[in-house]
Amino acid sequence: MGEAVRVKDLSVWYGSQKALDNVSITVPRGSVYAILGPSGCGKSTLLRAINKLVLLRDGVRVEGEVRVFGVDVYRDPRGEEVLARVGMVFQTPNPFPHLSIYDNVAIGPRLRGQSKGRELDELVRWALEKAGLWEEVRDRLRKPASELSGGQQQRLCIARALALRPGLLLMDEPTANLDPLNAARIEELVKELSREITIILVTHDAEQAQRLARRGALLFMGRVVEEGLLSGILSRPYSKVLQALVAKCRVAGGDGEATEPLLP
Amino acid sequence: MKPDLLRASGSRRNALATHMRAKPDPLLLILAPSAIALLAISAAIAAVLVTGSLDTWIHEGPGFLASSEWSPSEERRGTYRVLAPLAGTLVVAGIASAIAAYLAVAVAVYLHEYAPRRVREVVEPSLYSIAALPTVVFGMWGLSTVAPLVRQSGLASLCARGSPTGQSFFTAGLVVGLMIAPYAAAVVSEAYRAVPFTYVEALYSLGAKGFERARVILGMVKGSLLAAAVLSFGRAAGETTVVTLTVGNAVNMPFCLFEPGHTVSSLIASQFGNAYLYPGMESALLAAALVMVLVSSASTTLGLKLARAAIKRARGGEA
Repeated sequence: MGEAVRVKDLSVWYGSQKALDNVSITVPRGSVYAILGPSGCGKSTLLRAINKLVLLRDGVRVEGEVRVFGVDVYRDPRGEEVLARVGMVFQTPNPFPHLSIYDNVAIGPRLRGQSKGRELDELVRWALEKAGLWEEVRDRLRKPASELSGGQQQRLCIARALALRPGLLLMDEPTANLDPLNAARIEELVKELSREITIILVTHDAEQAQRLARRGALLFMGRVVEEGLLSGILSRPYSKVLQALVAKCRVAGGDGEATEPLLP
Repeated sequence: MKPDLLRASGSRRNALATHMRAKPDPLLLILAPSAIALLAISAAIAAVLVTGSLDTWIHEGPGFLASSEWSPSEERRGTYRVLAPLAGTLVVAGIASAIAAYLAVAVAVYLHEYAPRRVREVVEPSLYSIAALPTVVFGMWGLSTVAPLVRQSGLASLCARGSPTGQSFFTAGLVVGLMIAPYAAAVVSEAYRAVPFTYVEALYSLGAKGFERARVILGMVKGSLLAAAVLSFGRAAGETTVVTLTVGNAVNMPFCLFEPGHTVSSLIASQFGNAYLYPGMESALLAAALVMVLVSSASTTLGLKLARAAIKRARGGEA
């Protein structure tokens, strides 16, 4: 199968604050990979380091290596090309409110100067069908995206990412701001999509991670504490795992807010 | 539940009212007259403009706004009609707000999509201090530097009565546009920055380049852009000092931009001091001022309405 993503000795600083410390993970192709951890542990930073969005932050410094489908995205000039096939879905549904449903999905292909006219119509329909939204919006493709409900907006964002025909989909807590019913729909969607696309899912919900992913990593204070099969990582209840981590951190002399990660 | 709440708040209001009747807050005694005084002054100005211009409205009727004849006379009542300066006002304000809008968008896009963070941090706040420069400084610069440049450019030869000094509708519009550009740029930049970061991230994740990102984000803030343009137009239409120094001060229809002309404001500023020498002119200038008050309050009201709608839409979009 090979690897979709390989992160090696990755460190990220925001100014003088170290957000990621020597992180290494390996994401196999064609699966859902979960990044777990409490808030502020660096999950989102790790996700954004994979598609280089992290560089948008002021005063950021990145060290180490990120390979996506074998290409070093920070050094290899082919990186741009590879990242063009990496989609992202955010925590809060963020369709462009002033664009129509159709234009929201079509924006990626249009920016790349790919597909026009009929072909683009087909691509938009395909993406909306994949995202399970087509039946609900087929009659109002020209209406503004802001008219959709929160759950529909998130599925629209998934369609927007799918229209890139991505090999890799990064999802940053995609159900965190949705009600349980809509969250369940998104989970179903993740399961379906993972048959064709590698998905990296950031979540703080261990049960969700177990429902969707087989492998994953547990982050704590910028470090990978454990990586591998979730059944191993979560052999104890997740809350117990976190309590143990916090306790260990206290024993090491920190107060839980130390800037330097204190774990071995 | 609800009626109870209503009753509760109603009784609290009554209690408050009783309390105030019993013991007037001393601060109120200072604040209320200040507010009333401001309103009274506005009303007094409006009253002066209306009563002072009545004579003109009766004499000239709608012709006052529909003809450009302006022939002062010291012996008898002259003919004073303001179509030319009124059209001049619209043309100068149009040129100025077009220039300001273009520069504002260019500056905002440069600052947010291309400039290094350090540059942005220095330039953005300094826009406000440039915007605070006294207008007469721009007027002097316009007269001493911009007008000669316009003269040397030879553009005046495009017009039948091209300005020999370089003072023209175009010159005034250009200088006023440059003057209000920093303010407009600050407004647009503010709107640009108010776009939630998640949309910027989404655009990057979709592979959008600088200009493409700018196009989408400007689309998101287009309400604010329109509001900034309308407010700039109102500001430019009312601008007096700069225009009086650079427009050339001639009653002339703005058919050709490089001819000297007048706006209503420059006409009033340059003529009102001596208007008492010419029967009927004072009243005509007051009538022109009344028209300007209506124009500028209409554009300000419209601009503020657009701005509020834009803010409301932006908030709705975020939710």
